[in-house]
Amino acid sequence: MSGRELIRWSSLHEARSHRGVLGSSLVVALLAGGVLAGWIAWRSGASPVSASRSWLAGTLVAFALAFMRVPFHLYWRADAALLAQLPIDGGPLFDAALWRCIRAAAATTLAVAIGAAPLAQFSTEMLVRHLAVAGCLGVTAALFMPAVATWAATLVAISQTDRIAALRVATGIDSEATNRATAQPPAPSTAALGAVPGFASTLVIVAVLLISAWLAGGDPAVPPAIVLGSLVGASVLAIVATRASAPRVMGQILRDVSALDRQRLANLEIHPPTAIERAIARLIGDAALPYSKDARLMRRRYPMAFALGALMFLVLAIIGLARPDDPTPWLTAVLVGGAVYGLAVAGRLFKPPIELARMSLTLPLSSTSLRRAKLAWVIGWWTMFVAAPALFASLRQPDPLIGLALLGGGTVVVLGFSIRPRCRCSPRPEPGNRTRR
Amino acid sequence: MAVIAKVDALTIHYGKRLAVDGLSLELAAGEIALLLGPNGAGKSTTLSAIAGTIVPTSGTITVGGEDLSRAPRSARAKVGFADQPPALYEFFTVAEHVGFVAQARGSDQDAAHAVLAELGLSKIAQRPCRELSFGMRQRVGLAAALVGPVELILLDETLNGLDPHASRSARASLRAAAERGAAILMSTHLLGVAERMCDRIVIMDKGKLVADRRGADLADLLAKGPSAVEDLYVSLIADEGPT
Repeated sequence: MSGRELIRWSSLHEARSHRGVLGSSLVVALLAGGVLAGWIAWRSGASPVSASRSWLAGTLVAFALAFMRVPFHLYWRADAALLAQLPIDGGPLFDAALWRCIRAAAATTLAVAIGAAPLAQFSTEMLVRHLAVAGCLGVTAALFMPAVATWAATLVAISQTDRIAALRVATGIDSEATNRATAQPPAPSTAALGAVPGFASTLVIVAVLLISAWLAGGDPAVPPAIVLGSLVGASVLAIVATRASAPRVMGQILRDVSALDRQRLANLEIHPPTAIERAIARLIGDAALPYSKDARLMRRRYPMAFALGALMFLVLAIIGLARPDDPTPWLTAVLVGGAVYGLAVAGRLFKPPIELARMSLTLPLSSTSLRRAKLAWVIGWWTMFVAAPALFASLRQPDPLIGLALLGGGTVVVLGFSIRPRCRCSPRPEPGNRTRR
Repeated sequence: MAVIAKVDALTIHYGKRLAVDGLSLELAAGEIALLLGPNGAGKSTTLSAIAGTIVPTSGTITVGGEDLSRAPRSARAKVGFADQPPALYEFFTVAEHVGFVAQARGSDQDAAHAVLAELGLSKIAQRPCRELSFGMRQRVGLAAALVGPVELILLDETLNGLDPHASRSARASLRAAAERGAAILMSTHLLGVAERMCDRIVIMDKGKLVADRRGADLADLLAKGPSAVEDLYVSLIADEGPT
């Protein structure tokens, strides 16, 4: 199967699975761009620097999300196990994955470019500078991050293959003698699959922050041409090198990563409820049982919710402690980003494998208690990771009202979304639990 | 008969748990082998490893002479696998899903339509996979495993949940595939179905092979009566609950 054919199949499936107006990435990009532009227009009233910082904060949040999605476009996919069974060359597999990354990066770039439009009122040059950064981040998301994520997966896959080869040698299946391998090798680490792209994302974001002063006409710490040129150059070189090796490694990556995911999921460690979970369960009466189930499953199935939550906590704590001159862009970016992610997490609570609507229908649990359990989980997550540090960060500022208003708005949106009556409404079959992160 | 698949000293760990323990097995062309064993015996893990979707801790697997770890693509081209639950593209129609798998195996859409017709799925060919019942999903998974030039067909409890008509057409399709030279390894708990269609019975327990009957051995066993396979199973496997 050629790359073009695989892209056609993949696009057809994605078009079907993202039906509706909000399922179109173009519509979402236009809406997000409009919201960002509205915010920048509002901040433009304060000063050009404030508008520029606000745009940069929103842009970095948008691209951080785009960077995080790259491994999902490449190998953490529901169809990875099926594709791993089929005799498709690595080249077409990589081309189809890269096409998804490019489309996602293009949508993000479009959104932040629209968001930069109000900056034109200050000067065309200022707008062009912001668009240059947007374009550079777009190229990075489309080319550099897929290359890095593929490289990380190659490390894991090769490590796995080497481990097995060593074991085969040790057990006499192959002829060379070595005693390095043990009868039961340690489980291969898949942490690199998320950690390496995460580290690369941080480097890109720090590089852009180094030239943030230049965006508003100030003197940057590093010449912008060098930073932007390096990012674009590194992206092109990285993708050329990765594409060259893709036919050899991509099939192995897909097979090994999906296999490792299956083996990992088959061997999940069972942890007892945390003290916070026990305390919440005691407060919610007959919703305690479904809440405990949701809490345990969310911890195992979506660890990213806790990793991102910890990151938001850290950033808000830093804002509170550092008290920057203009905290609004940073508070807005973190709280809006947190609210958007909170909506996504709340949505997952209502879907398999967390909520099995058909099974719940057979149990003596009221739909009210099921909804209350999910609301309790969202309140706990939002309070611990966002609301408490945001309150601290806001109260530490000379003018706490903006932070408090943002926090109030985010809380209403996230909790309002969680209260919607959606339990026990899905007659659709629940497909098998495929790998998700 | 030519050996289609060879499993040698296959061992698979899930963390500290040993799922498959040094399993060795050969499957010949035209052979339908039943893989029996209690829940948790390692049957699905073995099938997944032979299909290449689980990486073994040690051991070798060759399909059509190709080592799965060294030439995974050419080995996988010869394997059709119906997983449990079947891995389906939920937003494709049945025809599109099977057509996609056919194209990946180098066949055309006519091959997909032929398999769907053979399994009596033509009437639901335009229905989205996400709207299918359990039994229908099993049948679509079977169709995807059969389509294309596969030499080894692996079925993980695929005959479970089929109505009598579907079960009969599935058995006929599998027999036809075996007559074309494919080797078939299928796990099931339906011993009656097993007795009716198999050329070989393999029983696993605690990750190990505990019985392997074929040819005259199998004929002698089946001649003992309708519950002979069940009696053999019960005599070999202690009822200890899931492991």
